[in-house]
Amino acid sequence: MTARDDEALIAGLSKAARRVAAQDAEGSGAPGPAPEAWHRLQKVQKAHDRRPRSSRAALRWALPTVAVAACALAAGGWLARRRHPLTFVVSGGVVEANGYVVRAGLEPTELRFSDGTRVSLARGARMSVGAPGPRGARLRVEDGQAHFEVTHRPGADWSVEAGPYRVQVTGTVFDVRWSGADESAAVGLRQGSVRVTGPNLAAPVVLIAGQRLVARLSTGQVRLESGGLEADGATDESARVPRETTPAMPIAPAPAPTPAIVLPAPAHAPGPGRAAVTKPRAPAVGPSTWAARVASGESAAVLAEARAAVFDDVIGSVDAQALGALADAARYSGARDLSTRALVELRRRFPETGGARAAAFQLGRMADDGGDARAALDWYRRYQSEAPRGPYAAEAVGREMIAVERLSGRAAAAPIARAYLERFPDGTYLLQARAILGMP
Amino acid sequence: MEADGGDAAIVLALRRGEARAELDAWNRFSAQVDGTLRRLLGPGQPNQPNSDRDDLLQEVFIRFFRRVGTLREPAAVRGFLTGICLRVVQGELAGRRRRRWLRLTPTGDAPDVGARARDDESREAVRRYYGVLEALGGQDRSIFVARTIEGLTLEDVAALHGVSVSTAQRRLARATKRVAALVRRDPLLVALASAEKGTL
Repeated sequence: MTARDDEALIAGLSKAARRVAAQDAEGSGAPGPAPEAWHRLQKVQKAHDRRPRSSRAALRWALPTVAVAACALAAGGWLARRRHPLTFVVSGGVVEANGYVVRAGLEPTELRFSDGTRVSLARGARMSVGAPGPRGARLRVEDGQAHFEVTHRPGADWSVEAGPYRVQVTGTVFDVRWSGADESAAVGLRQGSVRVTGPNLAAPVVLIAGQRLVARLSTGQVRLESGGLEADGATDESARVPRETTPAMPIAPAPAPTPAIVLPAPAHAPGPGRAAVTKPRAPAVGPSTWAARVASGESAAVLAEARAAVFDDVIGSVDAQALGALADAARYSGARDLSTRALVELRRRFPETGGARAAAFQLGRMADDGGDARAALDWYRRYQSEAPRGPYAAEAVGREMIAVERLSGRAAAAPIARAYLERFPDGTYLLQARAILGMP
Repeated sequence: MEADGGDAAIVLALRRGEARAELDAWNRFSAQVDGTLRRLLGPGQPNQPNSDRDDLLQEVFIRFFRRVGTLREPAAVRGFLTGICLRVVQGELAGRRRRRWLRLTPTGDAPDVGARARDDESREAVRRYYGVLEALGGQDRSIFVARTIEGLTLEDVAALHGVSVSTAQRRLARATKRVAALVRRDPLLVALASAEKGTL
């Protein structure tokens, strides 16, 4: 046997060794070590820092100090957990430059946090991780649905935002969905308990296992349904809040095992007694019925009715409430251009109303969604000048900040980020504002 | 090994003692270190916990954080980490040899020979190959694995082991000859090498 033969033999075995190592690494679920390893490192490092440098001295003092060392180790671990923010890894998804995690394709997308918490994104879902701390993080479902399995630990501090709704969590399994298109949120609880706050909720709502809260911002309807959650059928294991066909969020869901509990709705929404589940379909047609019918999920029918006539004539003649409802109906149906025309007309014909001011924000958001950051910026600023303390004020400033960053860079967005943090220190754009300012 | 300005920036941040630098270093280098450790150690026994490798990973980073000030060229940090991995693994294997003398597994439990049957043949062959490498002395094994499995250049291998290139080459040739002779005694290893050769 020659040296060349030996080398060939070794090369083959070395290749097999590399392959097995790579397979093992892949088999662990995500590239690199598990995120929990970071916390263990911090703990071990503390212990190393406390270790005496001389082994003889260590031996001499070992027994008397063993109890102290144990306490120091425990305290070190506690301090490490206390000081160091949680870390997370993303598998199977796309992390965009702005920090959003997106599930783009069929591959399951999961975020694994160093405390064991896991988040799975449904297809097309988009979320962000804000301000991770040592005991939790603020997560935001930007669009679509996500499934959460939050590890229960003492003092855990997790929250999930879906539009203006906030789910406060201590350790539980639940699903959250937010649809920006029709401004609707759903929270389905599988285990544990969560507390939901947000618009149209007079007080925080505590969900228990098997309950689902469904909220529609535009109509003010909020419903709490009892009965077990059904796993989403077909193909997506991470989409566990039952999904309806059209619209995306359930207005009149499938009958529950027990009657739905209807929460108080605000004045402009249908009264509790007439809310979605038991409400009969409005028999009449015409602009005066549009607001109620859009609230009942008849957006497509309302839009069709308006389009049956000359659309410009319609928006030039109906009252402010009908015009707002028509804009919503068009938006929920995906007819952005018609929604824009209705909102612009609303502002032109009824300039002093709250609806007209809110329309400025809606127009900004639609421009944003359509990729026109400059127009969006214009509308957000107009809304802020018209309604500086309006219901969309925080979101308008946050979105203005993002748009300015996109158009002119971080330096230009920095003053807005500072103002945002000052005005809305607990706002949903906290993470983005801190990132713009280069804050950890 | 890839290096860029980001590597050097993290090293400089570590030297300045910046608050987030350690976490940034972990996020940037831990996957590489994990892979290197896997290749240097080989697949563990089926009953061997992953925590062994996790412990070594922690040891690598602890040493790295302590010694980063001694790194002359910040951009060469990945090679520096590989060097730490080599030394940590060498120490670990020496400890395992001592434990083996006591007939204990790395965890201190009695060995579970029956578990091997559950693993697949190829993995078992690779495991045996790493067993063969134990016949080499501590530093010879390290030189051999760094060159043949980790794929470092001879110059890097020599530098990381503190020997001249000619010494590294001589010891590598000697180790290769010895390992090849041991491998030929094991039909499973010969079969694996032949199969892999076909895909080279």
